[in-house]
Amino acid sequence: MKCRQISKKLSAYLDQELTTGVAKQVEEHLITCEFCRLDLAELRRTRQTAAAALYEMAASAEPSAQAWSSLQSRLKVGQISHKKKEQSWLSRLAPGWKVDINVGLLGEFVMKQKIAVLLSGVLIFGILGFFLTYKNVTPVSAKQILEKAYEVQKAANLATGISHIKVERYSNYEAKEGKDAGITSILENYTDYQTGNYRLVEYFSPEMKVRHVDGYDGKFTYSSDYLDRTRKDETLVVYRSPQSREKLSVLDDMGPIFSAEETFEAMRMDPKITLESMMSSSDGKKAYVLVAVHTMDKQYFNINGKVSVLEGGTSRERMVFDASTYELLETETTVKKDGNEIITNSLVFLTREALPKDARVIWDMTDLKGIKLEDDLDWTKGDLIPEKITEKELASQTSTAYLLENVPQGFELTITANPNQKKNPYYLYVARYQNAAGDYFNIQSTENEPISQYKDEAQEVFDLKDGMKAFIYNKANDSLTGDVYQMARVKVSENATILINSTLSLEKVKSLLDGLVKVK
Amino acid sequence: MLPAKNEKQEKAFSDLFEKYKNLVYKTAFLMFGSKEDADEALQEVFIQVYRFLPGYDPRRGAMTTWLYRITINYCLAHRRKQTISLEPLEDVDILAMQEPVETRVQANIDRRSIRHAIMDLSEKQRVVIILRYYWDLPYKEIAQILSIPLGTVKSRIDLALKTLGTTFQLFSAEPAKDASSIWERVL
Repeated sequence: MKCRQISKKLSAYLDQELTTGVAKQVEEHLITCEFCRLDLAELRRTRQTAAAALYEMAASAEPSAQAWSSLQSRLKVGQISHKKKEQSWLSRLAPGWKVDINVGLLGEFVMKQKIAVLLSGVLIFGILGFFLTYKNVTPVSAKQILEKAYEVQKAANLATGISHIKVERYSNYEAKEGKDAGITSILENYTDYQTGNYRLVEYFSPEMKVRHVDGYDGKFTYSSDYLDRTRKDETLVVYRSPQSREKLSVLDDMGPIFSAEETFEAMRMDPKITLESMMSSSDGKKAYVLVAVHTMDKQYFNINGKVSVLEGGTSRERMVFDASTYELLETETTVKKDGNEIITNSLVFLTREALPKDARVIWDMTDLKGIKLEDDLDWTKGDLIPEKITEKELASQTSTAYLLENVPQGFELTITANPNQKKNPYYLYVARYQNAAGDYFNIQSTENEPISQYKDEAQEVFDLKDGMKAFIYNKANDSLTGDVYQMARVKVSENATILINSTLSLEKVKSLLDGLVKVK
Repeated sequence: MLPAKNEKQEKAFSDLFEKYKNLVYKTAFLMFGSKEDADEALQEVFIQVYRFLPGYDPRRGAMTTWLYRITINYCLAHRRKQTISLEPLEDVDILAMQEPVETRVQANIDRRSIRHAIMDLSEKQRVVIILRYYWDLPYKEIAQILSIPLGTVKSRIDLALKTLGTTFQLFSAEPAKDASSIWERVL
């Protein structure tokens, strides 16, 4: 070996990290080469000097005596829970995948999934901007936006109390220009984490006319149509559909409760998000402004049958955080159009508080004026909450459901699906296998896109039994939870595809996939 | 307000803290060079530990590997504004006491410079130096902690040592041989 090669190996040689064969080669060279011997001696000195310096530095470094008690108080204040995030598919993101958008609010159910790595914790803040990167997208529902706001709020509300959030939202998705370009609305939400009751009402502002309703009072799910500007004069119909609390899966395993600070820090770590500035208000409050730049594909909007186009480009999403509490104060998304920066979306938090658990909230919507409450006893009209179903019920609902032949040892299976799926292009369900440690293996149905759309991005492709083909994607890191996810797409048949995501190792995922079978 | 954590879990966590607080604290201190930053890191890391402990699977690796990883990730994510506030050197070097004043002063200068040299390393290089030469971890474990290939560990250590070697020489007024001989005796 030449000196140059030897030189690179000397430190490993001193650390005894070379294989016997290579170490021998180094030794043989050293016998004959004085230069390398000198290098070795110097390296040895450097190692010793460095080690000694590190020892000396660290010798004086001890944790303070109060460290434990500080930690204790922080743990209580932050109310950190170590439950894993529930993979509720309705509006949340299977980690690593872009969202399934439920656009029931426009009377159409459009589901799109693309492969991308998104911080699920960024969703709340990204949710207003990222959906713009879809093709054929339609606006996200207010419920989805606020569900994410709850996560930030959960830390303060856990175990007791009812969260109360009120935001003012401006939407102008088509980036129209002019005074009447967008719609301003107020969204007010109450959520009781103990019982699972929730109430979301959106009003046109400033008239305060009810635009959309969503809720659950323990016995009924309330859901409504969604009035856009052209239908402002109509009376909103709110459907009341019976759903029993036992069947609902929403409350189980509510997921990690991230404090506002943690969410902020996770976003700070996202390379696509930058800290733009720090602002001070006249009353001495300080706020951070983070910016995320998204690239946008050309999009088509279909609103009540009328199609409009927004050209591609970049959108900029600003997020304003309270510098001391890390709470999100405002967001604003802008796009450039004809040289002008136009606001397509903005959100301002007006209220964010925890009410006592016995606070009186009218969950059954009877206080709302200007709406028509209609009973939807056969579940054909309302938007329902996903329910837990059995394997048998799953089989009876669809002929293209896939599960693992056997439940892996130590795991429990929960299958959830929305009872009302008549509008859906395909039957949507999520089968979640979870163990006590919180590891999970999820199977969910997904749009049956042609393989050509995604096969090239797969890290690995392999065949399963019965002609099924699995496409494994890059592990995704949820920088908020620190979890590493495996993802796969499995083409189970000509007309069905499923998504897999799991915190188990790749080997384990592959071996579980061997047991994938069609549910009969 | 916390969801009820049973006594057993609380005790396990407090034992963990006692056992590993130095691992976390000293690593953070060596990375940041400041006690304040190390204090903060200790808190933040153990908050993460508290949160993810149920998800920790011993089959995936040793507890220490896991802890190093969380700590290093924290340190790398929280780049401090770099004027490392090095703590004032304590004059407790017994051996140096035996030297004449001039050499002691020189030794102090050298020590400070050596520390600076270490802190001037890029974070990626400093991390491997700390894990290898302070904690004496094998390359394989370092590779696991940092999620990098073994070869990268080797080359990073090599580069870091060579960088340090050059810097140490520049700083010492005496030829390199003598400066390091003080340290050899300390060891």
